[in-house]
Amino acid sequence: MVLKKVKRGIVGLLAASLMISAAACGGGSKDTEETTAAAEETTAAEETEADAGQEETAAPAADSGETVTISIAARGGSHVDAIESVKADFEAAHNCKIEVSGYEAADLKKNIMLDSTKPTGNFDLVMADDPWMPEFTEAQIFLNLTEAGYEADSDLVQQCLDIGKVPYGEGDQYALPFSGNVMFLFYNKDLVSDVPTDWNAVLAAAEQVQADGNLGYVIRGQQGNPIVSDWLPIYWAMGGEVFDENWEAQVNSEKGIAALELYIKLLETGANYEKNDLVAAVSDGKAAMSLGWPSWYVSGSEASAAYAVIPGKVDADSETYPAGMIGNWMMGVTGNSGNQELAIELLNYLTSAESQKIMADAGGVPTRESVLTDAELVEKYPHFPTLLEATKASKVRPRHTNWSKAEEVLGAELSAAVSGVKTPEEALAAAAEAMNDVIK
Amino acid sequence: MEKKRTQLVDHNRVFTNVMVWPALIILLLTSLLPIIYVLVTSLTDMTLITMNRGGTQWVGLKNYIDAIQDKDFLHSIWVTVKFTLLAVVTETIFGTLLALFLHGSGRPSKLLRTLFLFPMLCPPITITLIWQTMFSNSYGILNQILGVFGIAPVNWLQDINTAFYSVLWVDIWQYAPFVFLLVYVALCQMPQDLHEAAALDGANSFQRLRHITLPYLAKPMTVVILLRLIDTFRLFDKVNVLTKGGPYNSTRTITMYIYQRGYNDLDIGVTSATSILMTLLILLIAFPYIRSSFKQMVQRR
Repeated sequence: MVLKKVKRGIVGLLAASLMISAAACGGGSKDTEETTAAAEETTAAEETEADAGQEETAAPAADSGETVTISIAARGGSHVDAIESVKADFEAAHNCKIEVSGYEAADLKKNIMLDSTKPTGNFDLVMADDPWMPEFTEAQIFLNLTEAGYEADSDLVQQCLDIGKVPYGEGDQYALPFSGNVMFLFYNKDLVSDVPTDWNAVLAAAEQVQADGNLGYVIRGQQGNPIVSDWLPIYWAMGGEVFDENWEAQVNSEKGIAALELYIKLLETGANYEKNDLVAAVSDGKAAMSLGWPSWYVSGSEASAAYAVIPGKVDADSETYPAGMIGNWMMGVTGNSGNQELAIELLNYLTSAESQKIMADAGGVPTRESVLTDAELVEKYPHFPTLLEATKASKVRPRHTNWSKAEEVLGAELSAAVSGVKTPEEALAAAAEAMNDVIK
Repeated sequence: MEKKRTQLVDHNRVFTNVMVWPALIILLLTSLLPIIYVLVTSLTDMTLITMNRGGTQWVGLKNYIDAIQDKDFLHSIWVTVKFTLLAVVTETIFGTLLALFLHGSGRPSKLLRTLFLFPMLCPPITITLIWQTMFSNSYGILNQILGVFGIAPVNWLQDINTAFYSVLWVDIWQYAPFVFLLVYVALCQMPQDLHEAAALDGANSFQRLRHITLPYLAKPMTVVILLRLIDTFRLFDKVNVLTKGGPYNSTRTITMYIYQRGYNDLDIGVTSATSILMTLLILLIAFPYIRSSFKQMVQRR
């Protein structure tokens, strides 16, 4: 009987503690809500003060001794290292703390998206892959930098700066190019002595290498973004456009079909590999050529394969077009940042020539002409001049909020063509129809 | 005496309620509310842009109708069903044979049992990355082995004829041990007197397997098959790492379709609708199991 009472007592105690824990959790969330509300009020007050001007806003935090935290959502890896390498000076000068969160690309997009729906976001600065720009500006994720007083800096490479403008190239500035990136033609010098300067020469070189017993040209034919990025430079070099001015898909044009036929001929000289295999094959001399992003082959001053600007013409006599795909990582201030003025200052600091020089040693890729041509840096990073040349001869992917959907359907049809399931004509006709459906 | 019994019953009822309700409330908050939210968003045209700028509109069943008419979505269902059936049947056969072999071999070593279970113990993403390396064209061990026999390298993950089966093999390799584990446990619990009696009556080992072991395993195997069906239907990680749904959608499962619409396109309405449709499909598969569980519960009461 006594034992039963003790048992009941213990059970009662456990139940009570569970209820209290639950109640405590509730209480905690109430506290949090109050804290959040207080923080939002503070932020609102800060925003009002901020209207008075940038310097005035930055000053109170310093004067009051409070440390403001600026939060950056960045693409993980070398981008985070680059920011970390320069942030200390800014923190000291502005009595603030900079927190950098690195994410894998898909996670970065998701986190920025979710954070943008809050009245006051956790992120003050965010990085964005350049195809995300139309979606992000349409969703008002970025602050309009032009309206906030930003004036174009002529030292930033024009093609990079244009990516951050909406409409592309001519509108207001919403983001600045944080990290440069443009596709190169990579080749193994042991297999290809002279770099081809047009696509027919690439094919001829690839066929020669194949005849000698190695793989000629390796395509990156994985469905989705990889195959689209791998094929578009050839299409662009033929003067093709993905859409016309009315957003009607043009990929099934004669140029599109010719580009896909050439792409398949190139595949026939080599193989269809995913990125790691492709890099290994060209670097090890099993294959002669591929397209790729610089970071795949170049690390610091070393490059595992030779590189050149992607050819912008079909043959020696044809017209030259911009053909190298540009893929900068942009950075902008969020529209719901609670520290917009300080965030703008930090953005200017991170994209300044001084910071880019330091960041280059931490894996950063400059987007300023003065930095890309800096003699000291060029000695350490010999690919910088080619990067500048390729960026100037680059082309941006279509600027449309539904581009990712169009890319997905185009990628599936290109995959069908290289797999032999459809002819180039059939695949591109289906792609154009599907792209027109998703783009409208 | 009667009063005391009534008090005891009341106390037990209070105790039961105190124990059950907190868990039930947490479950409602963490499961039911998100489901309701997904159901509501599935009836809207919500995207990232409308989330931030306003203008999300009620579209009724349009997302569901569009999904059912979308040939890519229907194809992803076909790929998922084909993959699930092939994977579950093969895993069940392999796992059961392995369990029968080990159980019939007298006293199996612990090392052997651990080795058999090893693929299941690793996180799926680790297993997938290991296999990605083994499938590699440049440095993968599979093509190196083929090379020793003078066979040309196979483009396991990029060739439309091999990509589906390569992903399928990775899944079978990882989850056949799951079937093995549950069937082996069931075999260990099987009363031996039935076998002994049958042996005395002159039944050979094949007859004992057919008339005693397999009927005994029917119930645990039903549970194993249902669990594997539900789990395989949600396949995502392997496809995302190995093939991204290609070549030409040949490995694009429903989850991959939903991921691409959700993450790449940020179509919240469409993604919610297709997620609900997938959940309904899984419920359809799990229905026999849920029904039998309820029946057993009622019978016990």
